[in-house]
Amino acid sequence: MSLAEGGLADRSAWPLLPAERTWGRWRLAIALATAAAATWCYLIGEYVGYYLNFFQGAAALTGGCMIGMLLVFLAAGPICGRFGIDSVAATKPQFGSSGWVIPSLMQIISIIGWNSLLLIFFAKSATQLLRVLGLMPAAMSGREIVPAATLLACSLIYFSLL
Amino acid sequence: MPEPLPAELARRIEVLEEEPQGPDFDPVSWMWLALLGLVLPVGVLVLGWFL
Repeated sequence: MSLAEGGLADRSAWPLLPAERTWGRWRLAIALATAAAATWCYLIGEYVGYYLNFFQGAAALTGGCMIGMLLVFLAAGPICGRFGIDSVAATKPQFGSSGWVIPSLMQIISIIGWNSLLLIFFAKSATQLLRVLGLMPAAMSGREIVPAATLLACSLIYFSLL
Repeated sequence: MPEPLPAELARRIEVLEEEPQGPDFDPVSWMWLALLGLVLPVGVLVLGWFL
């Protein structure tokens, strides 16, 4: 196996042989732990607090998340681990060689939606921070700061990915 | 008529299917999966229900 063939397989979403894979248990664990500690935890935890007390809420969140992870893992984990493909490529047996576009689009839409939410949180937090620190310009309000902070965040992400 | 698979893709699939499934597909791994994905969370939910 040459490096060129390995690179071609990586770019074309073909199955990666074990020797070509750059991830392992620890890398996956770190990546998943990062996702698990994302902002959605705080949002869901906040809403659960409206309906359940601390112990019930902790039990519901812990048990519910573990069962949810099982469903997600069973959908993609075994085939992705065995054949070294990404989760969208793993949908081809169900959706076909053209229909895989549907789950791919769903994934893109969910990523765009969620990251838009994160950008709004960032902008509102920045506005609140400026207000608390007394750095908010007198002539400006959240209506101007939120779009500016959103634009700044988008620019930072764009240029960091170049 | 479906197009034939590219030779390199067919070779990769053949290699992966011939390989043993590996340590993550043994009975112990499936037992952990059932324990962490079903038994433990259901137990936690039942416990939370009565708290």
